[in-house]
Amino acid sequence: MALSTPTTKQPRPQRIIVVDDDAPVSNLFKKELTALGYNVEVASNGEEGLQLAQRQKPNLMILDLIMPKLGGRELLEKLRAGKTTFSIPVMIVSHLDSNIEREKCAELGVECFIVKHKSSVADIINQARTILQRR
Amino acid sequence: MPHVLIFEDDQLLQPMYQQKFSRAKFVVTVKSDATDAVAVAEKVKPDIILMDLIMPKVDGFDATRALMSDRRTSAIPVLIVSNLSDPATIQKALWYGAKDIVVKADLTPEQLVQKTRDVLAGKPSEHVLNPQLIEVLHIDAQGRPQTTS
Repeated sequence: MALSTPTTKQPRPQRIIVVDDDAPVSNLFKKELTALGYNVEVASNGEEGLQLAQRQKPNLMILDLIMPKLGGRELLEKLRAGKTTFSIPVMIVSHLDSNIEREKCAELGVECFIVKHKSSVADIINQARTILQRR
Repeated sequence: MPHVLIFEDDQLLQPMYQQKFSRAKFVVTVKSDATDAVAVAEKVKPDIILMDLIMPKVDGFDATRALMSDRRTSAIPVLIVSNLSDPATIQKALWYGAKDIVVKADLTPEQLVQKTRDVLAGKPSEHVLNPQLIEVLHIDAQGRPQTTS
């Protein structure tokens, strides 16, 4: 009788959705985060991001703010109002460098607000990892 | 008609851009200096901005960063049009928020008009961002002494 090999249950990779209309930026984040073992989906506008979030219930979303169709803050408001999406952790990674915007996003419970061009890719990826490790 | 705002200090290129874009049914505004890029863009309300990099007073990188940082102008796509084409310049342009970057010498005016239309239509840049190069740019921006070789 053949012995069955013990199976170790692999944890399901954590899911991240990147919502950014700049393809080079979203592709970069996808590549870096996928290499770390995360399951990453990309959306190029807020509407697409909302649909993905409702379907996938990700462990983290990385949102740009200025996007066509639905901007990042409007998407964030819809996430917080949704029965299945209200508690999704959100990182804002945008070029907008505005204290008003930062405060509005903080009121909506974002994990962090990063000004893209003041940060390195490593800073942004490390921040995402830190948030996911806390969960 | 789409409105293009062009920041270009070259006195020979200015009338040529004005003519080519006007013929292509654009409304054209040309400025030699990007010092008040945000104020100008807010007043002009262009559909797209073409930005030279090497200009007196404020360079195109700083102007792009200022435009992208401000909610009033952050949604306006910026196309960098420069004679610089090294990898660091390309990375910097995209990481600072430009939609794409083209080299002046590589394009005819007609091709530049077409490229402008492509960006307006949302066609993504074909350049790939390199995290290592961005890391170097970031460290330099934090004040690391620049090395010369």
